[in-house]
Amino acid sequence: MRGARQSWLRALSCALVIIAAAMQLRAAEPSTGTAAKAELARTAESSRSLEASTLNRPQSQGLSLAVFAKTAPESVDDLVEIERHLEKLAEKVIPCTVAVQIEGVQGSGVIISKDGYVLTAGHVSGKPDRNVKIILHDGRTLTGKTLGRNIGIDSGLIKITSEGKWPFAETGESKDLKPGQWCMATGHPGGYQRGREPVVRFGRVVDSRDSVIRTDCTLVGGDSGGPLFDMQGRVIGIHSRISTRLTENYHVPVQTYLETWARLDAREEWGGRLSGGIIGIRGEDVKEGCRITELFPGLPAEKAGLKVGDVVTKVDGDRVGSLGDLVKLLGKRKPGDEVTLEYLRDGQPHSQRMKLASPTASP
Amino acid sequence: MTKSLGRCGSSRFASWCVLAVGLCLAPASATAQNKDVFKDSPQVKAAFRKVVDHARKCVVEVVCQAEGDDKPVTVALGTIVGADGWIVTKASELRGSIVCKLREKGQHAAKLIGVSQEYDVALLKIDADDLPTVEWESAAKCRPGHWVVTAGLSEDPLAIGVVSVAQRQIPANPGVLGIRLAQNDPPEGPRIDNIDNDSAAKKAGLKVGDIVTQVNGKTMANSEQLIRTIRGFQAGTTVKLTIRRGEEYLKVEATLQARPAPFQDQLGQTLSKRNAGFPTALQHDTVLKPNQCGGPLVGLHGKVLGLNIARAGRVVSYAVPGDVVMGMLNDLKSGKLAPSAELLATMKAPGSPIEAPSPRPQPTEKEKPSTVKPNTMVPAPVPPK
Repeated sequence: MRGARQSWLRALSCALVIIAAAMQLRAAEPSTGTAAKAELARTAESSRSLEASTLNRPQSQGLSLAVFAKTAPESVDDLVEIERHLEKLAEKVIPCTVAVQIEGVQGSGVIISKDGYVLTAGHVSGKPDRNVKIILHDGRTLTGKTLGRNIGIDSGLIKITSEGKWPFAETGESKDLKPGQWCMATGHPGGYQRGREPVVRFGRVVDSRDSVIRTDCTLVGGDSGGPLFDMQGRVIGIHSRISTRLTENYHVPVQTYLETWARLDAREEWGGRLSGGIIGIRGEDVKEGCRITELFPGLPAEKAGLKVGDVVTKVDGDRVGSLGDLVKLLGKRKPGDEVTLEYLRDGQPHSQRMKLASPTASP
Repeated sequence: MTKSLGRCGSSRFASWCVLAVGLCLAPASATAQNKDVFKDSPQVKAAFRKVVDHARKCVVEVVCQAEGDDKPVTVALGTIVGADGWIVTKASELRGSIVCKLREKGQHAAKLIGVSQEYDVALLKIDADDLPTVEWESAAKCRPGHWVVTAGLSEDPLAIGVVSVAQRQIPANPGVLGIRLAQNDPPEGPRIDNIDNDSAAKKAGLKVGDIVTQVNGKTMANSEQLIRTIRGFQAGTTVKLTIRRGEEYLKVEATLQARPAPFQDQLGQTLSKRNAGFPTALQHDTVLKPNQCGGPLVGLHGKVLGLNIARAGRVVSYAVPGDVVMGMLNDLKSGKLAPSAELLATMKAPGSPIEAPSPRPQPTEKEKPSTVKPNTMVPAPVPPK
């Protein structure tokens, strides 16, 4: 078992760089520029409309959230205050949590607008335009359709197609989450069970990055796509994956859904493993272009004779000014496509043709 | 990544292993995480000291040593319910000789007095006086989000968590023998073609080629009937099988096991052997080891809401509600819920020879006469019909 796990991790650590490269591709997309600004503006507006008809804010109920700002509860009074808040929080967020079933795949989701948008995990919703069975916390079933997804970051969107209005949660923010911040997770671990409402867990943010949040709210198969809430009951993350330790539970930050809303809504599929072709290198930015720092045996760059230290300057005539440029250019192509790479070795220009590999190839 | 999805389990489990086991896409932090950041950090636990202050005095460690164990093993916690030495704990982990380790009053040999099969709760008796006892509370008002605190023997709670689902019935895991039957039934009945290692069938002494003719006296005409019948029993149940081996007929008892839990539920931890099939239980998210079950689960008021009874998954721990435990105590004491002969047969002191199956345990002055049937451990040949 151990040997198998080690080789699995080795293969995946190579995938890491490939994915990291693809992740950069996604990050390299215009976060400036008028198109993106329009997108964010639209997002902000939809957020406002989400806020418009919302469930009661905790503040309006006279509950202070100060106790959650402490490093840790200090007294039984603190614990009582936390408990009172958590009970109300659970009551509020359980009804927004749904089970999601798509062609034999089971996961979870959260309703975030009164017209029935449901956030879920990319690996749950899968391809766009598929039929979804949505199960509310009380067992009522609805229908829906899958929309778009970002495969790399694992975000996915679903829209309920049944007529009606349903309880929904606000989205929060995930940019400034701090380690130690308290959070609540709901979902359907093990798949939907009749008579069992969404299962509540309470824990803390362990680590938070642009692409992933880690918490110690335990998750397991079936929870994918379910919501992570802050203490105001706003969605800050969507469950994605776990690793060996019980404190390794990973969630997609809500920010990415808001930032890429238009693309998700437009049924776009992009990002990460399944798109683009790779040549199999690690690289770094240098003045002339992208300098190769590592080659993966068996992948196109190594097979074509490139070496560590070579600086890639062009792909099919397009200028490569950085690793990001290289990743972006390769990301537009498909596995199997032939490309001509121009590179510098010891200051001398060279050129080499090679066939791109698939991002899921393991060396 | 496709590799990791494959490792989630066979296609049987594909329908609900969607949470891909994988590594963090962000650069993995190689440094150890600051302990203070976790929900059960030392600082957080310290806030609960007053909450467990009484209950922790009523907690014992239950230590067992069976034949083949080279040393005693802590199999569970126990909860003191009677000042003169009555202790409840989790039944299915008990084996061999039982000793209770008290916080301040040393170790005591313990006798198994009663077992509730329904709830997997056992009642032990030790020779002691003046022990502090817990105060039970109903779990009916427990709601998702309420704190639940597992008391250990020390000042700090052993573990903390919240209620995940209000108390409800937990369906049983269907039992399995761990065998594969012949594709085409021979005329004599369903034939065993394969026996899994460590399976219930292997432990019962079944062999490849055996024909299973009866289960609990009921004739099994074919494989389908046998499979359906076995599935109707809960994991942990002992069934009597009639086996035809060549020309001989044997009677064998097998204790059914649960189907192996999905890969992800076992990731990074072990589960209790008996972890399902409770008429009612409170589900919470406290991280527990199987041998940390059997002790009190306390609410903020300091009273005991339940007895931790199982670690059932990566996100699930179960507790038997306090009022249920209270309600069964008399039956456990009186012999109405006596331990089964099979269980008692395993309750031997280490070093004593394995005897031929003995029908009854020796009654002591404190024990009422047991209603246990003679042990029919086998093989004991029965003349063919």
